[in-house]
Amino acid sequence: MAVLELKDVSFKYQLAKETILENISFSIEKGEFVALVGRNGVGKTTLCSIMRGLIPTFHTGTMNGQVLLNGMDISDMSIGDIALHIGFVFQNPFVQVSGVKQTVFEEVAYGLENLGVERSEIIRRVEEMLIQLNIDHLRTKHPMQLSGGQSQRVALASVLVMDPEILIIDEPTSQLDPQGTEEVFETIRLLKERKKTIILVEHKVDWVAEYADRILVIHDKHIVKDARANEVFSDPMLLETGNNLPQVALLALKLRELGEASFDNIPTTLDDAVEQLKGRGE
Amino acid sequence: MLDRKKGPLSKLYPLTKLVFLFCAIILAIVYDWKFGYLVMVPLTLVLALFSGNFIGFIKKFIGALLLFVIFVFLFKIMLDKSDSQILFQWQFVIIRIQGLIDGLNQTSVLVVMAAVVLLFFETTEVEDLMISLQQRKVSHVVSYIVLSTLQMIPDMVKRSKVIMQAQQARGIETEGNMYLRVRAFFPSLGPLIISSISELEERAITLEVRGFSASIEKTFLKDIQSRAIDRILSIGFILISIALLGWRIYLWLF
Ligand SMILES: Nc1ncnc2c1ncn2[C@@H]1O[C@H](COP(=O)(O)OP(=O)(O)O)[C@@H](O)[C@H]1O
Ligand SMILES: [Mg+2]
Repeated sequence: MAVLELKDVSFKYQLAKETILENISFSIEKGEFVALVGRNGVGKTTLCSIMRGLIPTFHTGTMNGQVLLNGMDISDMSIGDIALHIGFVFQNPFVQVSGVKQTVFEEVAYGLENLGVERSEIIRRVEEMLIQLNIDHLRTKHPMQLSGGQSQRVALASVLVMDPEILIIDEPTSQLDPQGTEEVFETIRLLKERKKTIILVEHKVDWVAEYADRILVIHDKHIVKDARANEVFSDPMLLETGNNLPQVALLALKLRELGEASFDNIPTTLDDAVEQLKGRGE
Repeated sequence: MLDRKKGPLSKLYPLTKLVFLFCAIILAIVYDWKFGYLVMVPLTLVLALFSGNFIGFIKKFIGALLLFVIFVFLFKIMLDKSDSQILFQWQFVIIRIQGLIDGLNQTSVLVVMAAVVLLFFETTEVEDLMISLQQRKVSHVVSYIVLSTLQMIPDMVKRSKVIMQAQQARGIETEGNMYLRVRAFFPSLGPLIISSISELEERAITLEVRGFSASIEKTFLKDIQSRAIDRILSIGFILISIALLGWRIYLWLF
């Protein structure tokens, strides 16, 4: 059974003239790692809020269709109890500080306190998370006095530590340098190993191509493509929706166009390219 | 880095202080200015000596006093039309006894409120208040409203400074005499309120995402407990208040 399913969802923000999303349908299986791509303002964040049940409760507007969480209509669930199933990391890290805590350690622990996890278990899980996201050195800092990148990691840690079965993560690396980005993707990979279902919005397609299983391309209110990562990222059509292709795929396409090299299929990851090019050297 | 509150009053259970706060305000409402100015305000100042930050408290208290005392009081005194004894006269400014008393009466509740509320926050962490409310099974909605209101005030102050600066940068005068400042302040209210509300909404979502209103019994890492002294003080405050209220009602009736 699908853990999360959208059935013919459309949405219009209250004050907007036009609908932002129309007839969105897809379902996600347990353990899948799905990435949402689309140009800025296309409605990725909006779609995340819909999946989390924040729309239409918090952001008002007209919504049609259904969101099913483990087969249950999400609009029948209390917004607080959805937190037990879905973790949500916002795009803007600065607004996801609880405001009630004085240190990063306590901030990360806050969600577990709310879930009634036992004290010693809270401490163990927070310690583990601080190390995993490389924020251990920030543990006594005030959560409102962090840099963008630090804030982003703390926000991610605060949600991951709650260990929900589904994670919706909206542009978690926008404020991070390459090393920070790698750490975040490594963390997401570990989640995937633990059979978590992951929905990620991310512009850095090179990374997405390496890690994600399946890509949903949103363009002009609709999902225009829903396919495996290597299929989506090897298709130059993606460029027309305002998205980028991985560098590896661009290079391969260019080489093919110039007649310099032929490929069975356009590689989208470094390993894939290496595999295909091996043994071709003069 | 961390500004944890210190001082003996900070060790009291937040609800004990809340009981004191409400008792003080109710008594200030039913009694006249003498009770407010001569009993409650001095009492609060004495208590503030145990807040761990007396100077900080005094600064904020004086700031608050200046704000409304000046307005309400002067207004009242000037508009006094009674013919009670003239206290002070300078050109058209005439201060009469009755005006002064009216002014004291009208401000005493506000001044007591300002004093006890400031003292409360000088000695209580918002988080501790939240925890104690939740320990007493106060509903999520109520504790959220308390929390967000408390957070909104310092936020708004900070933000109003930013907005003022922005307006200054656009050439709007925000310094200089009172009239100019007041005139500059009003156009900034719109953006101030809108940005505060949208922030409030985002914060509400943040708390929801972290399971704030999940229907589960919470754990509290921080150990905040009501001790014997808290129970004694709370009961004491309530008994004293009931006695004083009774006395007041007795005076009204007979
Ligand atoms: N609360 C809102 N009210 C009205 N319009 C909104 C609101 N939030 C976002 N929008 C608009 O909806 C569009 C999609 O936004 P968003 O979902 O954030 O896109 P993305 O995440 O893909 O960049 C944008 O044009 C944005 O201006
Ligand atoms: Mg977005």
